[in-house]
Amino acid sequence: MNNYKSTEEKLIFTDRIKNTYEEVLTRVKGNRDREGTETSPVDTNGKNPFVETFILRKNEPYVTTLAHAIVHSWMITPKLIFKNEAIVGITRPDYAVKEHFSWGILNAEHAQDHPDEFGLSQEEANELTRRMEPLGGHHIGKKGIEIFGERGFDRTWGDGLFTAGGYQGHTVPNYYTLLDNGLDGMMEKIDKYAAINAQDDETQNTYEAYRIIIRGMSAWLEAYADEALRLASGESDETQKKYYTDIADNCAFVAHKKPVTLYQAVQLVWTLSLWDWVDCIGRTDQYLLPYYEYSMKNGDVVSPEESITSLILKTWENGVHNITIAGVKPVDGSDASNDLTYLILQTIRTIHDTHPRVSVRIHKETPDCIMELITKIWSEGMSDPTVVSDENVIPALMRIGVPIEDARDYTMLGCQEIEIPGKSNFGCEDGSFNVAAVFEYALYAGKSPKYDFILGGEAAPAAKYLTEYESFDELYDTFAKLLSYYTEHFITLCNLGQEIRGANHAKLVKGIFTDGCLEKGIPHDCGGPIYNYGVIETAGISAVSDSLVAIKKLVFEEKKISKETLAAAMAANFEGYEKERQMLLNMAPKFGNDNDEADEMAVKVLNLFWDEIAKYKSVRGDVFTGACSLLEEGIRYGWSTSALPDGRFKGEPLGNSMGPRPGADKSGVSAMLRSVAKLPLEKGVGGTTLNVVLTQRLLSTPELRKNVAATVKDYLMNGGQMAQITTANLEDLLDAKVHPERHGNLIVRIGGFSIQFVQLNETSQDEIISRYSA
Amino acid sequence: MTGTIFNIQRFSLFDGPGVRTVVFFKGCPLRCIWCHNPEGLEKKPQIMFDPTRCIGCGECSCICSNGHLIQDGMHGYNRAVCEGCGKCADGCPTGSLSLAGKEMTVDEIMNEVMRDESLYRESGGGITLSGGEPLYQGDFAVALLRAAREKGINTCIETSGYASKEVIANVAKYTDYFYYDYKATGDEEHRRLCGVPSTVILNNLSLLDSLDANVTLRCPIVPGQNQTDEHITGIAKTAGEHSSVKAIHLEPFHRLGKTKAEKLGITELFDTEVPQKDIMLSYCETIEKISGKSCIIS
Repeated sequence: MNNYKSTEEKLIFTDRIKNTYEEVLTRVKGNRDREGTETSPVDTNGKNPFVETFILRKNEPYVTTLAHAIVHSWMITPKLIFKNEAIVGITRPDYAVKEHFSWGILNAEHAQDHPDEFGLSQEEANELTRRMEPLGGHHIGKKGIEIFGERGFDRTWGDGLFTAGGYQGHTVPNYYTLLDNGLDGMMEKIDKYAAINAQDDETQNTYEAYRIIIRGMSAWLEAYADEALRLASGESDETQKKYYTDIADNCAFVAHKKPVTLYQAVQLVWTLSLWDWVDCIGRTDQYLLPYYEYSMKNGDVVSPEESITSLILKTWENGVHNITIAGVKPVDGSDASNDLTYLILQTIRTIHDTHPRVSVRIHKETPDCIMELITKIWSEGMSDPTVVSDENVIPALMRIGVPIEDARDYTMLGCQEIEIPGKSNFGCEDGSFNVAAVFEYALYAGKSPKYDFILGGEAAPAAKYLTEYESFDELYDTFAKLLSYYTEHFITLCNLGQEIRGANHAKLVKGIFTDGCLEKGIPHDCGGPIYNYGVIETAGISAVSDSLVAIKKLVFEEKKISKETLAAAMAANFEGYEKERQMLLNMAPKFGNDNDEADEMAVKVLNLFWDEIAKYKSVRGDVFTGACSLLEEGIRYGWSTSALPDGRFKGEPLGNSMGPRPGADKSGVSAMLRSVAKLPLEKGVGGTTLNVVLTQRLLSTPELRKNVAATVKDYLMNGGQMAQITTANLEDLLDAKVHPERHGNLIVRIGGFSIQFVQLNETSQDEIISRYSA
Repeated sequence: MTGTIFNIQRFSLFDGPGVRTVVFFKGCPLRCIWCHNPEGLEKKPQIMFDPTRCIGCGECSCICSNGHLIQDGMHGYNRAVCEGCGKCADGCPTGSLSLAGKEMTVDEIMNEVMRDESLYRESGGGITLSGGEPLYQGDFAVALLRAAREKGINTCIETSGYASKEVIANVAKYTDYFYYDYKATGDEEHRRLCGVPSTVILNNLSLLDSLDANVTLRCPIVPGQNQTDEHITGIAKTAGEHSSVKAIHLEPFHRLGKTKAEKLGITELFDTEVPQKDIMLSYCETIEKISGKSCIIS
């Protein structure tokens, strides 16, 4: 296509890319469960390279053994090169995933249970497990039991109060550093800082581990070069033979040297993205631009368009979570969009699938044609790209101490979290917390309605039953005290989760490519990076604030419902109390309708929780910040939350990320957006997702798309942080429940995920239908 | 001064340029047989009752035993004695009873409308007066449009054009776009279908020509009623003859008014088929050819 900005024209892949596309399509179709990360096209045969390595190197330091294990796992993964493809490298062997998330090394426990399979005695297997996982989940469990008792600690998860210790997966490495230095250059950097920080064995071992990784990456690329040559020698088709020899040259070059051309750059980027299991490749249109311009000017073995589309096809096949484009330039805040911005958008438009997810950063001066192209892509039924506000995020980052140039360089990652690429380890996330559970404690004398004891016992602040409160303020203050108490312990446990990662050298590869780790000689999870904020996912805000408004208005102010009746109604899950439930639903305002009374309460509750967590520092060094990008947690926490005074039945979903309670917004999209924009989203530096469902009709003409673009932009420029738009016809959604087979293409958003509607369970489907706006 | 308003609808994308807030005026001098906004017909506030949402709780019968009777869990509503005070709707927990029509001041309406001010600026949108017939409350419509104009937002009005010259002239001062109905060709035909003659309406359209207004002609197409070649030609000619008319929107009959009519206790419901799309497209072509102006299906 001549003009990547065009909304009318579509990107037509070159023959080579088209062939690659079709091959990927076949593989992707055969692999439905991408969220389960089972995308590796190779069978690992249950062999565990980590166990093998730790057995082989039983007297070596932990960290270098881990590095060897990572390298070994990549080296034994077959070097598959698919026909037609231009850049190579397959992912994701299961064990790499597990290592990345540091859920304890995969199957260390397996060795413990089946020592004979590894030729070990039980004692040796126990020792192996201990060595492979210096700190395990028991580290959190021990403390949790100390605070809440065994039964109580169990309930924190079981009853949906919180999950501490989290996920802590995504961060984006510094692709500039990688591309500027090449792998040999990275080795020089490691050597340099190893000498500067020559102070103790542990640090030196870490640097040695980094060297092992870099050598491994080079060897892996060389192995790919060898494989490409082998295939070339047996290939009779001249075109395909040339593809193989190009791949061999390309891999051999970037195995050591820093890239010059775009083709070389994308191969190196893809290599790190695999090795890091990074799954989010940052501001791709920025760091690749110089290489794109070089190849446009000087030519390349593979055309610049093919190089970019090849990379995007790789991210598609491998279910990459986030590519970030557009926004402002770090140096002067001017618009950063360029040809690559549009080319990447056009590529995902042509692929039209749930992956890769793309986030587009929007600021005041974003060219109109970007929103035009985005709304066009939405109108075609995709729920990507997500739009994010520079005007909200950059000041939000500066508020927690990030200098302006770094703040301007933020990237989206994971399921819509925010970080400074290559410089940070934001918790992402350190834990998630259900505010509605604490609200239940406030209504039930400190207990959950599901069991008869108080978490934390006498140490917990005293609370009353709903019927005993003299005033609304007394109830609110009790809630605030309880929230403060449980937050403190929750944060303690989150920090223990971080200690586990630190001790386990989780995400070892990231240390090399994250600014600060090499320089300071401190690992990625121990405060090595420049920025080390913690991130807490937040559930239940709208349910609690709507409940508070209903109690304040109907019980204490207008006295339409007595405390006794409300308590009885909730205890009965509203059975026999439909009139009261209807009053709660309809006679008190709800968050999401631009109603000041309801929205101010939501602001108050969110401030209460996010100011509370901001009092604490992550053990990595910086403060905790809020986030709200709930996937199935909004639903899972809902299951374990009882009936609430907002009229919600027991077990119903608690809310869709930062949005109103499902079905509560009845005043149109603009009113809903305005309500959300009133929230202190600037304190949600971890990322606050908002899902909006629109009918396709609203996007059916250029004029209407302009209006939708204006609506979204108005939201983003006036307090909103991000928006994900799903387009669908209500009839389609309803029909898809009955005839899932007819609606495989219906892509919707839930939390930060795009997913096929028909793959969702009924609760999730109903939840999406309920927030459908005509 | 207050106006009787039955709805204020935000985020409206189909009633003028940009994103708009539509203010629905209650009361209409016309009685179009296909009316799809029946709650806009009478000027006085009316109770709407949706039995599907009623849980038979009896709250309403405690408030007003004349109008409401609950027997065996069934809700009987006696519209004949209802004065439209709205107290039962205030007390109804489910919202199955609601009051269509509320007295509001210009300031009250503008406070609601201006909540989306930044969005109007971003999109070129603003306020749209609709109904009912907004000019049935002519002075209030003028006051509201003037207030909107003072705030610098775009102003539109959807009108049948059935009003005094003075009102039309005053409204035109503060209105950026008119959506002006053309429902039947010929005075008698118009009287038959809409209850009033069309002379006044056409004269007012000429007045808008002289005032250099920007008018889009809105033409409902109702099979069996006005879906005739003669009327299509009439639309085209009228559009062609009037300089203020910049475009024509054909509005095929739809059934969305049905539910609302049921809630108002209107039992004799007009119904007909929905016009076919290809026929509608051919009308557009004909009208464009004769009038020389753009014609689309809205």
